[in-house]
Amino acid sequence: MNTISSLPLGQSAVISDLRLIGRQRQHMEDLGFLPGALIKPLHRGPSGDPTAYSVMGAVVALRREDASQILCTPCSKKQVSASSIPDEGRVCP
Amino acid sequence: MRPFTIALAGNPNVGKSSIFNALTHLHQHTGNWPGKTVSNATGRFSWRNADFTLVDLPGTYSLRSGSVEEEIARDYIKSGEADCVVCVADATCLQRNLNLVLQIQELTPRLIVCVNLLDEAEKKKIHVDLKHLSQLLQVPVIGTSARSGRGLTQLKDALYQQAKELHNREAVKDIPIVDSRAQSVIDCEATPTGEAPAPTGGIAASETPAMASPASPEEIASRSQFIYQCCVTAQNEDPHGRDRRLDRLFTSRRTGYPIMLLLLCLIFWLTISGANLPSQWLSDGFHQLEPHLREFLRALSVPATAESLLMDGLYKTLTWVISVMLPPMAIFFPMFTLLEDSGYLPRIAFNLDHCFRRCGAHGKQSLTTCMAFGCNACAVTGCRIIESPRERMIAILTNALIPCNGKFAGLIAILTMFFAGSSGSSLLPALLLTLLILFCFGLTLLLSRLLSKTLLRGLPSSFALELPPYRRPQFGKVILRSVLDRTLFVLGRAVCVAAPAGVLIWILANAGLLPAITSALDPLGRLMGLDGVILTAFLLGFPANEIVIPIMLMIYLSTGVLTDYASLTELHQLLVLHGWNGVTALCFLLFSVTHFPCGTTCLTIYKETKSRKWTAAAIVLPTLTGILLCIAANSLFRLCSFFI
Repeated sequence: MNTISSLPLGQSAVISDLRLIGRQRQHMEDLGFLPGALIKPLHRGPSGDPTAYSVMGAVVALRREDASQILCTPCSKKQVSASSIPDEGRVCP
Repeated sequence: MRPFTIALAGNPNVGKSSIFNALTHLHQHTGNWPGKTVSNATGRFSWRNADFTLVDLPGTYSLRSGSVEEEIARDYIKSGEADCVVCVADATCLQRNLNLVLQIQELTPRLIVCVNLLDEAEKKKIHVDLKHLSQLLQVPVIGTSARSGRGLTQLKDALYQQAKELHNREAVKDIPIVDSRAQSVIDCEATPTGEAPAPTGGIAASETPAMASPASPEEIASRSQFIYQCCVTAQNEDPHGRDRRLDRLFTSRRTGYPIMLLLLCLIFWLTISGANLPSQWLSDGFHQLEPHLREFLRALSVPATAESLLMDGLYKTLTWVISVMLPPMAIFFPMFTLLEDSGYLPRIAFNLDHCFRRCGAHGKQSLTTCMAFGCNACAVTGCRIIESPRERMIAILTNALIPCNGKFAGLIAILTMFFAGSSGSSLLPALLLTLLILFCFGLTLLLSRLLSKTLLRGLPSSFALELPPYRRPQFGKVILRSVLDRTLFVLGRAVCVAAPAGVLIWILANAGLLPAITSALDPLGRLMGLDGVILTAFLLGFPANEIVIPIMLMIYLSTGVLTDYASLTELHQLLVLHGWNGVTALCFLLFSVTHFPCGTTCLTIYKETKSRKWTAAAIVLPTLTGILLCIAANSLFRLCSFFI
């Protein structure tokens, strides 16, 4: 199973599930990390951690251990470019 | 009409405070980072003979989870204290903002959506169809750019409209409020589009039933997703391209750290080199004024003792504080505010996060560390952005190790006098100050690590840091505001504290008490490479860090030798006369960055932790560190000089 921490930079993916419960899950969901949301890792900190992700039109940085709790399915390049909507704002059905 | 209460809600960093300031003409501090407002601020304004009370709620991503800010915001909205809620949304990041709009809509019938930052959205070629948005949400939608003042009149008009309707409804009490939603459809006429909403068709009809019960986050997300797709069109392939390019520059492995250091050094260099001349002018001016004032006092036949109290005690302290502190502050504050305004501070937190992670501390501690450069007390309050109590305590306890603005003037003065040589260049002191700041930062990390291994053991909690878009700072406004608000505030505080302190010291010195205190502290002072006078100055400087050096000078002067200390060279001579050398200066620098926090900060720590034990820890911890550091440095140098 892929997690968003294992995505290479620039590779878009759709969040499939969060391995979190309770308040931690809520907090992530509030920031936009919801099942079905499209995310893309943008850049990493100077030491390789944390990583900034584009999600719901915002940029949120997560540490590796938190990002590895978020499961995802990588999108192929075609899927993303086929959409006319700017990819940051999209939620896959 | 009774005063109408409006709550301002919204995601963090969408410009709520800017709107608040623009409407109320108050000057709540704004900054481009999430979590600036941590408690409710209240202001008032009038529009068309109606009075409004505006409550600025802390920024929240949602209203359902349990962080402190979210509870404050949710409780306030639910309590019904506000007659109307204005939800401020960021036009450049509307989708996630809509989640909150929809959540608030479930809690309150009276909602106005204010789509702010339209100017930025335009620059990024993001178009928001406000009319359509208003139809889909069935609430009034106003577009604004609070920083330039655009759309504020419409916002006030919409608020007035709501107030008038509420007033009318209250006047006819027996008509129950049944259909608030139908009401808000009528309110839509107040939108700048000026048109009544067209029938919204199947979409709104099918959406409406869902509003009855609390929707799940997925439902809300898909609804906001739908609305977003209907109302927002981005013409650019990548509307945030410029932000990403800047991010690559500011946070990459190769350029991230060097740029951070260069910026820090540049700010210090500009501050030191720019402050030299005005400082000289000011002190010359005060110097020339002194004989005239003395003459004036004599003309009033003021007794000699009182004249000495006023001139030697009060006047000299005040003029020192003003001439040495005003110019560097007037340069440093605006530059710091520019950095804050531009959105660079969260990038610093992003770059430094891994250091904090290794020390078992929270990544947002780097934000509160940055805030501490401005004011330790503000930073302690700012620690509320850290949710985990363990990590918040680490941040609070180590906060005082970062020198605040009040300490900078003194640090710069000592560095320039003792370590910059006679070259007169301001680059060297700037570099040294940068080194000192790096040292403070390292110490903060070390102490955080120590705490998380001993007193505050535990694992780092989850961390998410939002990186807001970069904004071009409003230079004119920033400079004006930071000079007026911060500089004069800090200077005013210093003067208010320094004046009575000057009198107190004059009295202590003339009553012969001062030598007793200083000689009691002398052994410890000598051990630390300092002397009793310096330690006394630190103790008496507890109310405000700004006055440590003035107090020290006054004590030195009160012991007989009257020298003029108008300029730094004369000050240097005075200190050398009292036995200062390079080691004394170094130990002074060390102790001035690592000693007990100032009175205001201690009070804030007590308010935030509600524990005497932790407040005491916050005082003892840095002081002990400072004493040990000074003793170590002093003994090391003595040992060296013994062998050489």
